[in-house]
Amino acid sequence: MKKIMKPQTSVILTSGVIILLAALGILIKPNVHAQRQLPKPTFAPMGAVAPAMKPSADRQIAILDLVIYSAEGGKIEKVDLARARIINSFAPNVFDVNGPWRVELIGKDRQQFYTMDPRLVHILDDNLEIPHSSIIQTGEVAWQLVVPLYYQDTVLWIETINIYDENQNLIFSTPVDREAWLKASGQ
Amino acid sequence: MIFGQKFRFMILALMALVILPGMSGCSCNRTVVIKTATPTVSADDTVYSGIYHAVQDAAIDVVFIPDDSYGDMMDLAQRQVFIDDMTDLINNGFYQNNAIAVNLELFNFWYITSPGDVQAPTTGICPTVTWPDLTNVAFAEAIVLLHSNSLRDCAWGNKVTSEPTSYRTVVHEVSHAAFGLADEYCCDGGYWNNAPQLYLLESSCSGDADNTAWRDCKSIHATNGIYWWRSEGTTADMMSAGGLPVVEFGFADWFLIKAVLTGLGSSTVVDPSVYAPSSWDWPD
Repeated sequence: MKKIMKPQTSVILTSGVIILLAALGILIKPNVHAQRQLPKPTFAPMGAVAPAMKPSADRQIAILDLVIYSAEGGKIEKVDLARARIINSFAPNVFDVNGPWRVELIGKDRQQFYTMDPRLVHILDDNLEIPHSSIIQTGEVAWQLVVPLYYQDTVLWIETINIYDENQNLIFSTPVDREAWLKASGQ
Repeated sequence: MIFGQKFRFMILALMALVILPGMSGCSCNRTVVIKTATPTVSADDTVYSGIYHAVQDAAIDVVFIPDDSYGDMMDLAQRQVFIDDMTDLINNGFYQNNAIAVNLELFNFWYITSPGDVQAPTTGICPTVTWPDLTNVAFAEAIVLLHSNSLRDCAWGNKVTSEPTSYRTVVHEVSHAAFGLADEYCCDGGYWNNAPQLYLLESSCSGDADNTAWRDCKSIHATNGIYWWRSEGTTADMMSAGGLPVVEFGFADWFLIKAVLTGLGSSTVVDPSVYAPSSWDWPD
């Protein structure tokens, strides 16, 4: 004759099974804290490297070689443009990055992006509890600024580039001379 | 008996809730495809893909440069030493950061063969560096010059010099350049108004709806006298503290990083499963 289990007994047994299975669930959970060395990438011999693809013609950037002159204490005295080029290239993805300085692109289209103070130098030490220390270079500092001339799939027709410091002071402005800057690149 | 059947059904449902999550693992256990083939996309034929996932417009691009002490990069054996160092740094630096690891498809690692030169400083603290022509890597969000000589390294903008084993320092510096993260340590870091990570005013920190999930506004008294307000209190994270265990980002860091990664056009940005100060290792 089939023995009918009392509800209380059933609860006790089922609870025991739950606890057991829960423990098993914990035990068989993947060990996400275990270390794994990824397979090291291997690289083809130089002679086997395929010619690299160039970006399409609508992918252009302006490279501005600037010189920043700062007084002791960090006040910017002037920013000079030493050289400007426009080349076909993919651009760094700068439009969603924060920073204290602002680069404003004005023309038929209007865009802006932010960047770190290029005079800021981080002095590193991987062994220290504090990652590093920082200084602001004064005097003459060279800065190569890359300006995207496209945004997503749209060409930006920029006529003026303005740069503002962290206090929103306009510290540099230049018209974009596409013809001369393209010629300067040799492309 | 009816009570018993209902009760057993509830018990089974409860068992599924308890056990299945344990068996499913976490988001960090996703399959990652490592592409190591020769490049199909590059800025120029002097730039090679170390690990390539997406066109430069849709990825964070980190470019490695060999110091000239690595020797002739046309010599395969010498080049392999540089590549091994680069790979080790990627494995033990970038891949050990959970936020990066779960979003690897949004990162490319490139290298060029034109060497730079890092020498001990002639004046000051930073090394004397000769950079190669970087025109062909103008697309890079971050550039790392690897050298084996032991000296104090520095970072300028998106460029950094590094020994091959400075794992977390490189990730820290790349995070400045690629994600616009400010420093969070006291007292002479690079600080700016960078909500929801860092604020110039306490009221801005305490009143920002974006940081309510983790808000603990604590001040950093910078050496120039300015008080900055950090939303993550004194939590040690990648941008605030050193030491090998601290390799993860905090919640505020991730808020900003996610905005950048989303801006790449990807619809598959994955939230980290681990935030600082907890640590995480690449899973089996």
